[in-house]
Amino acid sequence: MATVELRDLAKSFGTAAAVDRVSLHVPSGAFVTLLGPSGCGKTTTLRAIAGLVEPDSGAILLGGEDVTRAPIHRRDIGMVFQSHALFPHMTVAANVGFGLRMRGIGGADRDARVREALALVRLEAFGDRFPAQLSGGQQQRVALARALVIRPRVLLLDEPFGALDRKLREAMQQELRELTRRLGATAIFVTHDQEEAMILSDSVAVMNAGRIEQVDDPAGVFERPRTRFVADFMGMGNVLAVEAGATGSMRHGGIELRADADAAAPPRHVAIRAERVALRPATGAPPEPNAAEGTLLDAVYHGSLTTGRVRLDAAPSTTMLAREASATQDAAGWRVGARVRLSWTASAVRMLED
Amino acid sequence: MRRGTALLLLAPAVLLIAALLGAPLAWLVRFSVHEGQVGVAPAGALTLAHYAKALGDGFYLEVFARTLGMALVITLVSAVVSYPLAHFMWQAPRRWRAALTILALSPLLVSIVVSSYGWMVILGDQGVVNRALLATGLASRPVKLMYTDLAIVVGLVHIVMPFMTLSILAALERIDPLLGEAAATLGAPRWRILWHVTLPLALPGIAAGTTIVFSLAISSYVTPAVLGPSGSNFITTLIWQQFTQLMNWSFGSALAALLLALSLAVVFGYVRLLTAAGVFGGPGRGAA
Repeated sequence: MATVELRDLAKSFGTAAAVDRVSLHVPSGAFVTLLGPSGCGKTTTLRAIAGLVEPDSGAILLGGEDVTRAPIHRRDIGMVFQSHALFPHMTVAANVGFGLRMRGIGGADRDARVREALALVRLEAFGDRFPAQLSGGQQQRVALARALVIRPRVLLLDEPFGALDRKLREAMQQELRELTRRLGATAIFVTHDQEEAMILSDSVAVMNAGRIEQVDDPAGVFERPRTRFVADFMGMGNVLAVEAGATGSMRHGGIELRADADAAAPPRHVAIRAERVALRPATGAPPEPNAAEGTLLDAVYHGSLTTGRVRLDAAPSTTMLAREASATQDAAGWRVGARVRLSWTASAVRMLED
Repeated sequence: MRRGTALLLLAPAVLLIAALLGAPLAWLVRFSVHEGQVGVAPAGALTLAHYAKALGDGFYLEVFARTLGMALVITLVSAVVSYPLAHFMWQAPRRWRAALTILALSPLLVSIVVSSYGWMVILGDQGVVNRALLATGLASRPVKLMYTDLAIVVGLVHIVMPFMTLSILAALERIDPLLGEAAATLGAPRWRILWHVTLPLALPGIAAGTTIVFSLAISSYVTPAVLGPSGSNFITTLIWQQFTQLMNWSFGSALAALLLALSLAVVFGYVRLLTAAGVFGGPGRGAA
């Protein structure tokens, strides 16, 4: 499969910039996810690569070839839509064979490739069915086979599992991951679900307001967000405004924070992942860096994790989050209204760009 | 809803049809099997002679055949002309929709009589078309357009187009717009999307439209009478003659009953055929 290169891609609808000078390099065989909230431009970017949206400026290269102005049907891409978009009047086999038929591939050759593609998604026995006779997950697998059978230069997936229930979605994610790795497919996947992005991707591009804010491997965007938006979107839990304090430390209200890295410029915000904040009974010990005492406002149980919200004495307008495994003795013992002490390590403090 | 309530709600429609369609139809059939009439009531012995006359006379059979042929041509032409219009309305921006719908319905906003006479202005020897032909030198003398089969086709297609267009549009509107995009990404240029995706999915609409239009065309009277060749060209004009000029209501009724039977037979056969082909219902027609 081919590399994909976006150079300063831009697209406006009316006066609103949907995609604002996006550049991205996707190596051959890589699985890249465009992650962001609705309206961030991720789908428009994907549709521009497919040719379904004409960019105002910038360039799209597939395998080094400039396809910015190439008609959709000449781009050799495989696209999977959220609503499957299977042809209801054709059998599963005819759906999968459609792209081959458009390429003038017929007869035994086409039949063999259709069978092979259906085997890939474990639907060999379903060739004669119509889409309406399949379940949602099966329909999406047919859509995947239909996109893969033409051996596209890149596989584009627009929130393909958005309509599936959680359990089925997880199974499909697993299947897609194995399939693309086995085939060495270059894939660009669009989703607003950060967990899905991390499970599937070699690298994640977090988008906001038409721009890519950060491109990194899953652990990179999760553990080391660069901007406030990424920190917030990746669910860090705590994003605090800070001022420069004494000797390289930072202050948020009356709380002193220290990071283990040096910033080029003193940051205006830091992020601390809620899972890395320890919540213990208050000790009344004197203030120290990377610790604060306060009152536990509530504890929200989400199954395997429990999140505590704490109002800080030294910064009364701030509530900080601490998250722990529900099974641990500590989380089980959290009492709403109790006096608690929060603490975190310097390595948990991420300095953010604005 | 309980069954009883449903039946109760159906009652007005059923009664209306029974009173306004069923009763006159029964009266018509009664007329057709009586020898003659006294005033406006059937009279004389029961007989099938009128049917025997209609079916045994080559003249009437020929007019029936001509009428059927014309109705089929009109149905075909209106489908061919209406599809592009419906497709255009489907693709047009949403804000044009209201204006385009009114435009598409406009033939129904004018009385059939008025629009038929309107066509005379356009198709007559001194009409718009002939003047243009003469002025451009495409013809040296007026081409006979009025009082021809062509005039009937033109006039009727104009009138039945809204039914065809709106039937097709309704089918097009049910097509997921992503299907066209999916086909394009799979390598289909526009015309192949139309041929392999849009047209097959519009078939239920085309089927409904052709059924309606055929029924309207085969039983039309005003347009063939005003625009068509003089004399006996359409079975409906013959029926009109029997009733109003020859005062032979029994024979007119027999012709009318035969026309209805012909129309029903064609529509019934057509629907059976389409159902067997899976255009209505069928496994591939469910929501995907």
